[in-house]
Amino acid sequence: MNENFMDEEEVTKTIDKLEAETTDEKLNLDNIKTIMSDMNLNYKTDNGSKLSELLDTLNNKFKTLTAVHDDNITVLKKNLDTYITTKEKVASMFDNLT
Amino acid sequence: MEIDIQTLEKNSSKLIKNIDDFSNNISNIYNELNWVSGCWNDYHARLFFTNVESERIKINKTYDELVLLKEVYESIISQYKSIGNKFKVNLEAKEDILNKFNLFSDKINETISLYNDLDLSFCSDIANKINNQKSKLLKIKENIVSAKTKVKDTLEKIEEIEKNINQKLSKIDIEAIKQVDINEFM
Repeated sequence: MNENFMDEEEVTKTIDKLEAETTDEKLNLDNIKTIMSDMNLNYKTDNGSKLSELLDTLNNKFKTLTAVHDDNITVLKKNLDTYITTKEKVASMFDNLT
Repeated sequence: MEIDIQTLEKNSSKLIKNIDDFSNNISNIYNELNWVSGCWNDYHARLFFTNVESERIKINKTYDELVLLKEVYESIISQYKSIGNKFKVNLEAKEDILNKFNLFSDKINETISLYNDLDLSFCSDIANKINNQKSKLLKIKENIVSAKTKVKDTLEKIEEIEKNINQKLSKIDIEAIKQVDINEFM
């Protein structure tokens, strides 16, 4: 049987760490994008155009990756909020009983 | 086409570092998510962490794609470096370029042939001067033929490199990632 639980403190720490990865490093995707764009400017050939098309596809993927990462943080935050709200509600119910 | 190998090379080292950083960041993120999967368990958590695992696999594929692209750039650099640092050439004009050398060489042949037709038996001084001119022209022709060979070899090498790069590029397929509806995890 699976027991339901949440370690509030650890989940909060994880959210902080994940947010730091997003805001501080931006997954490094912006840097990669800029470097590859610069490289394509110095490789103007038919294959360079193909590389640019691949880079455009990759850029779209990068945007999704960032959004996915933000989604993961949102899921953790919302569930943490729900957990805290439920815990407080239950505590208040007990307070009312006593 | 226009290529600057030195600038490509500088950017290539930056790219390697940034792809490594990307890989480390992604590892950190998914290690963290893996760690927190032990700190939260309920129906939503089970759905969420199953999805996180499949995301991790897809994102690792992105890293592989980045490495393949990095290898293409490295291949461009190493192949072009053997023939030069900066290129600006219109490969479609290759035959025209080579024909220009042929025209020049043909013109020299024509001039030498005109010299040969001259009857110089009555004026030895002029004959010597003409012979000197002929030798100079033959030397110029030799240089033109050698330059043409060099240009032809370089252009063919460039065509070969581009063909090779094209083959590498045609093997790269960037797989899309879809954003899932996160409401089912909340």
